[in-house]
Amino acid sequence: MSGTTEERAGALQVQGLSIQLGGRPVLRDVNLRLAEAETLVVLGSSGCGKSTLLKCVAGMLRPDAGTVEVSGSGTGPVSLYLDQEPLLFEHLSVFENAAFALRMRGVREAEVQREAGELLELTGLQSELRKSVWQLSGGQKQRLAFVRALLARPRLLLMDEPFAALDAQTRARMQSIFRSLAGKFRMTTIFVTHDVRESLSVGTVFGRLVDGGFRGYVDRREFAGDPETGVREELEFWEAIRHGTGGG
Amino acid sequence: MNSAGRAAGGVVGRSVLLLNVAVLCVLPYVVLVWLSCGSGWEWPRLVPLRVDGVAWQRAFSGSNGRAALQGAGLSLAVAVCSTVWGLLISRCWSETGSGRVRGLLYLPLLTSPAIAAGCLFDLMARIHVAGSWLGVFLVQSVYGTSFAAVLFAGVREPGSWRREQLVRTLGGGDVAVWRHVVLPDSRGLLPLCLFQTALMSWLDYGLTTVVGGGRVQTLTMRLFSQIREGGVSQAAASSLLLTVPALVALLLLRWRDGWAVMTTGGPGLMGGLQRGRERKP
Repeated sequence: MSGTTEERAGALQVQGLSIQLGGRPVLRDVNLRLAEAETLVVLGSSGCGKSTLLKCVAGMLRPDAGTVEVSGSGTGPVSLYLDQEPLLFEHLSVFENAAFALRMRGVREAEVQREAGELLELTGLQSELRKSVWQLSGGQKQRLAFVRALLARPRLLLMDEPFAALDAQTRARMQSIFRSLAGKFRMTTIFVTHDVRESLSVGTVFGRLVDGGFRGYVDRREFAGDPETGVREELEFWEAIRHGTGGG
Repeated sequence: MNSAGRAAGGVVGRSVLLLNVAVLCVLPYVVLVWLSCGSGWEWPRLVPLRVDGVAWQRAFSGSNGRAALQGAGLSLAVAVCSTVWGLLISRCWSETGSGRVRGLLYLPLLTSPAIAAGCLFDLMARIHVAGSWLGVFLVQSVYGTSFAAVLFAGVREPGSWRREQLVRTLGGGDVAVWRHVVLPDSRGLLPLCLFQTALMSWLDYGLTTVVGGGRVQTLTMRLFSQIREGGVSQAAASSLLLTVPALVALLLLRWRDGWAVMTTGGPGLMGGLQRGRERKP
């Protein structure tokens, strides 16, 4: 994939972000910083404001107060929002969906073929290039949406529980692919999830939304050590399974 | 009643129902064909004096053929303009999302075409298009556009807006939005809209009579003249001719759907409509 990493990577600074939806405060004075090429996992239960945070950062919602700054430069969009709905173009083939952003930018054909081909191969979609989107499985659609997002070279990638609708096996595979490509292309990403295991699997830095406020953690150890994150319960559950004393 | 008896009863019931449907749908055409083939229909005989096909020879004569061609041209123009305008208007509406604006789209469809044409005739006369093809085209297009706008307004869904945002985020402009969101979303309805608006124009009598002032001769107008003149055979032949474009269009749509399913496995027109409904949350 061509395009320098400097082109894609961005850093994020959110200051004093607050928003009310339907008269109910959803985010209250959220402050966070994210260095480039990091993946911030934001953990939180359903309805805690995770998606609202991402939409505010993406500019899809206008906050009542606060600022969002994304540094970095490049030809791609400032941010790109991905969720469970891959939003693929059904009239285009798999390859054309992947190459969509390159086509929009008027990239030369040879480069389009090379860049899209490379990423489609990395994500195991090389045998599906000419297929229509509706012929793909849920996991393949998510991979394709991810490839399209990577080729768009956003400075900031916003992932809103993108794998929540997939089965456990596909989900694990998608997490692995995400980890690998996010590292390879030095993507700056916010990944929100309510799944503890997923958060540990994809994140490099960690945070949690509680009552509309954001709490950041210094490192993985501190995140795992906080009883509120649910990591301990998860570990205890698997320990109990291992010793044959739990799991129902 | 045992299960075999119930099954037999069901078969008989379905057969009776099918027979009823067949009779209701086919009988009018059978009668028209029968009427059109004979001449010398004396009251109250149910068979003609001669079966000679004279009405069919006259049906393709100069004035009828010219009226059919002119009517077809008018229908085509009305269909294309109405569909394009309807699509544009529905798109403007979708950007506002206003229920009141959508209500306005229905306004032309709430009045009787003949009454509206009577009211519009004065305006048409003032702008010197009364009694002309242009006047009839304009008035028919008002109805066609309203129909098309209402039809396309129903296509928009939350996913459409998000795909539009995505296209713009990925660097696309208005042309890309139309090419990759608006037109693909409307693809299933485009042939239906073209077909329906063309049919509205092709079969229109009220608007053409009032605004055309007798100087615009379509096949439908000729048909009513023949009925008034008592030419039963001729009217029957013209009636059958009137149904030809609709039947051809239906066959084409059916063939296109079958072809789409065979070649891509994708949905055809009806499948597209179904899928559109499934997408809605």
